Amino acid sequence: MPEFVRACLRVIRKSRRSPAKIYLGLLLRVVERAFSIAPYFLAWYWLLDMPPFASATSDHSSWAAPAVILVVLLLGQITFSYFSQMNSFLGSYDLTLSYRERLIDHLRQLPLGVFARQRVGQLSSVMTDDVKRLEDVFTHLTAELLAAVSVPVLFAICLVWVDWRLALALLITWPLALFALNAANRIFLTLGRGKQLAVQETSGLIVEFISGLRTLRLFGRAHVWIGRLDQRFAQIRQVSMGAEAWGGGSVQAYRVVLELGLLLLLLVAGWLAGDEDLTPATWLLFVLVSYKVLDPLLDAAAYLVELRAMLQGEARLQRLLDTPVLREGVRTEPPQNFSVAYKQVSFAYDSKPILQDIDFEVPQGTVTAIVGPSGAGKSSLLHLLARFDDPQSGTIYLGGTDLNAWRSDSLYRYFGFVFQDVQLFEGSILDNVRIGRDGASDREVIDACSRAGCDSFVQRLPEGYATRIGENGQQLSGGERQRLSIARAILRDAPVLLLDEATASVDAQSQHDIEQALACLSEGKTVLMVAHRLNAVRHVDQILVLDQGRVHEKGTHQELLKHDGLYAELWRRQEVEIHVEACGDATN
Amino acid sequence: MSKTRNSASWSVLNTLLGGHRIPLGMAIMLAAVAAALELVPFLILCYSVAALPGLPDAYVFFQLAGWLALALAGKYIVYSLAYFLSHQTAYRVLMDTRQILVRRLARAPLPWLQQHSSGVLNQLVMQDVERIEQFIAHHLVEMMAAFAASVLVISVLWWVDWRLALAALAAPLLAVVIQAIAMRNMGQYMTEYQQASGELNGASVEYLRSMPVMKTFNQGAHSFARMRKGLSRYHDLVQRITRGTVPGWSLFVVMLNANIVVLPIGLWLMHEQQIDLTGMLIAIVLGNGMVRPLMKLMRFQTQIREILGGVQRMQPVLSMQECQSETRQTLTSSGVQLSGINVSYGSRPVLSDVSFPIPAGRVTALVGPSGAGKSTIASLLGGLIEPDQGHILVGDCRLADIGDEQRCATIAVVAQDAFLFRGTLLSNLKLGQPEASDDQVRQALRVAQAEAFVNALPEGWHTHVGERGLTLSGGERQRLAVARALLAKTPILVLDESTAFADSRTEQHFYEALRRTYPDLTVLTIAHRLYSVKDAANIVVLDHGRVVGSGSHASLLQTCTLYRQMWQAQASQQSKGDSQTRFVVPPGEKEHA
Repeated sequence: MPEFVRACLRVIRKSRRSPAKIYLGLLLRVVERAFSIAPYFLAWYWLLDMPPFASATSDHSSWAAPAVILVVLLLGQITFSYFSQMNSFLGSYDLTLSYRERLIDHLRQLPLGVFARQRVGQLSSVMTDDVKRLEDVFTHLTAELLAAVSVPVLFAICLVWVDWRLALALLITWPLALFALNAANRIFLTLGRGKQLAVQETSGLIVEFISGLRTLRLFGRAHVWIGRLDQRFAQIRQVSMGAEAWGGGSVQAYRVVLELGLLLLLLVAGWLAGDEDLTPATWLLFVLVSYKVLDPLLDAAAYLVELRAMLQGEARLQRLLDTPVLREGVRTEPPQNFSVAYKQVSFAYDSKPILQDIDFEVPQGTVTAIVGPSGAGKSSLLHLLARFDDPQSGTIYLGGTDLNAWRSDSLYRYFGFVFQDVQLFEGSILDNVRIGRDGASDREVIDACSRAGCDSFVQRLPEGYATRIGENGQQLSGGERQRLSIARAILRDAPVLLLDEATASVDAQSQHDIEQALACLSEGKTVLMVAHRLNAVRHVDQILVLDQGRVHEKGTHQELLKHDGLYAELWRRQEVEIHVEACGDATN
Repeated sequence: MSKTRNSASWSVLNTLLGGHRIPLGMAIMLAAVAAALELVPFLILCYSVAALPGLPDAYVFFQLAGWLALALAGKYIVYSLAYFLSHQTAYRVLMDTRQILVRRLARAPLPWLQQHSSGVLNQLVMQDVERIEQFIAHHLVEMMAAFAASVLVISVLWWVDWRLALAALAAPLLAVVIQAIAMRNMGQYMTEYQQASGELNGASVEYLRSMPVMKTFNQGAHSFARMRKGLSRYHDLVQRITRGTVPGWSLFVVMLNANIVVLPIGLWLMHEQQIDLTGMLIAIVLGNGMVRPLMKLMRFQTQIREILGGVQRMQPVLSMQECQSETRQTLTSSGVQLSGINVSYGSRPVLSDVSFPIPAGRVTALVGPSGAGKSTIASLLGGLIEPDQGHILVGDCRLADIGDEQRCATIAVVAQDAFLFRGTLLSNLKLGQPEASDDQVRQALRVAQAEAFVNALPEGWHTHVGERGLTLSGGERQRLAVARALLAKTPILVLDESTAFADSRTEQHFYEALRRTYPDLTVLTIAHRLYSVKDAANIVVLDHGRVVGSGSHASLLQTCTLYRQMWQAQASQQSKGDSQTRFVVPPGEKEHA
């Protein structure tokens, strides 16, 4: 409960908006609740005025006056309910609007490394589901929870005056119930984690099964995998039963303990009655209201699931908002030249060292290739130049000036990118390529596409270059997307080019087209590229051999072979694949 | 329309429940019993005032406390039992449903699979199925409890006095009428709201996803402005909806729990001495609590909509056919004949009237420009898709009549996207032939020209591949895939661009080794590069899904214009390639990094 209040206050603070409306709504809600419980006290009062307590002498209608009073109370309740809800809802929507704005503003200031491929899915669910949950909690849940808590409190305030011992007996189990809830919660959460783990592992297997399904079918091995998955499903069933079978055990425990209050009430009443210390009128009141006191609390347990989900979501949002933003420089003028230099650069992610003491220079207009075993940090090295992340120590220079001196949007004007993960957005092929240079004419865009070798596949599309590509261009193959990204870079014509491997599978023909397009793109540029096939880099000006985050060797192909180190070893391993002819020989 | 869709989902759900009706029925019955026990404490309390204005003595209070304790214990035990049964059923249903789903997926048509990402299908098998749990384990039980509670309360009130029962019903009925009038726009609002929040979600995801490209191409400000506009549109809409719905809603909630009818009527009946104090208390205590379960049911509505949405997504998979029974065929030869094959994806024809033989024990080559339909033929032979028209004969038996197991033992297809599973190289190689000996593995690797690089690996063929394992280049993967197919020891081998990544020397070595080691193998090789297949016994030229020529290299150069053009184009490219590029750029070369 205190965690919940703390989380709500944190959200309010982060949204930087006055919560006055929400507080007013909550206050009015308490008043509304007071109106709703008043009839029980009135009923008590009226009943004491009737047989068997009073004589039945007053034979004028005893229900007309109460009816009028009840109508008045009802109207009051409706009025307060209306204003409370209006304020709560509108205030909450305003609050979450500000919170969302804050979030998207924060997101765009983050280093781009945060948006690495595998994390976008996670971020999306934080941005959509978690924020939505927060919104629901503020619009609906806070008011409901407060209402549920305020009813017993309001009752208690009145009942204490009538008989504090009975009031205490009725409500004393509530704190115990909350305690039971927390304790049981912890047990069920531990069991729940086991289930989560099993589900995650199974998900991984299913994805692999479906990705490899063609192969499995071709070899008639699908049934082996089905057997393996069956076992997993059975295991999930087993751990699920352990975790949840008793119908949200923690909620049940809470309810049992809470309802023991009724038992205590009867016991205390019996004890008081034995001492002749209980009046019939008092007992009548407690019988009348005891369930009305406990009911809202019993029901409130149902919100527990939502509450827990909200707390977890809020924690994720808070972590996101706490992620430090990229430090922006002020410089907007171009660099003196387009050479690149890394000086003593070290970079760690999640306190795991990725790159250490990186030192090298790329003179303007030359090509440097980064090679090395997978996981050596090749892509990270490239990403640092694009300021996707900032190194923990060391400096990267562009034309002799520290990268950090620039405003990132100015810096990006000098960079062309062709990265492994090609991002396309909703819009036509033309729109997607045109972001390479704002205001480029259709002619120029199509021209860039042709040079990138896009013609062959664009012509097959129903509306050619005007074809709209859906989310992430799903109907395009990896090679096709790659060529679109090259077209962007051609259109951009930036002096520094950053190239990274393609992960998508590309057929032989596309591979050839892409090689041609890239060769044409890199003419006269400063190029830093991540390479995988060694024979592809034999002719570059400089090769960096990266291993475990360090520059292991550096030099030209010939120098490195002579040196007979890691590069020479990698070279021998790939030798079978090497063909002595140059690129164009992919004769297809 | 949505109603019929819903009813379809309901019937699917009903089928999934088949076989679990008895435990589920018991759970529901127990829920009703628990609902009845839930009333007992109320009645005990009301009974304690029966002697008023005198108080029962202490002993009676203690006795009542005992009964109350029993009732509470009974209620929670019965509820727990009900939930236990319902959860047990639910998790069984989930397990069964998942098992059915993966079996259907294993046989799903290839074009269908290509349209659905593995992520989406995983979601279907895990999350969408998981949602059903809510319905079976919770909703059914709680709906029954709510229904039973309402009926029991009305019955008790009726037993006290029928007018009280009607009075207790009056306020909620009034509330429902008010809601129907005041909230008649609700449906419209709900659709608008759902649409708006869907759009907002879509915009958020797009905003995140395109962040790097937008920023690096200096479009960050645009996408930020667009996102803000989407936000404020959403905000305007929820404000409008709030203003439109709150009046009706506050009236509705207040009326649902109002005492306005029961209390005056109860007082009047008491005054007329129709009911006593106990009856009056029952009316007050039970009379306005009876709608609580109703509210609970309203909360289920959105959840049930989501559950049905998930079931609806499962429906196409569940309605796929199970595999047919398999009879073993006797194959007279390993020669293959394609006759009048037509295949189309949707309305787009891919293969039209394709016929050609693949003679036993020979190498047949299939060439043609990209998009000609070459890989579709590989998929047909691998049984991944079936022709719309025409048939394929293996020996003199139709391929369609050969069962999966026998087909896999007869034809091995090396597809373009060589998929490697997580595990060692060896386990991947032995996929088709788990009992293969080390010598056989070595031989296959040698023929596939993969021996050298596998040996160079730190742990040889025990090296782990796949996610987190070693990253292999496209060429390495292809060679492993070829070795894997060779190990399967099938009489027919189909190679789909399997040597595209190799240089011509390696390619030549491969074909020589293949002939030498497996002289009886029937081979169909699909190739871009004409040079590598010019020695094939027969070359079939495919263009736009049609066979436009076939014969030997020499005869095709004479008779087939397309073949001649392709040959000339490739020859000139080859000579040009040497001088043209400053360096060879790698992106695009590596598959599945």
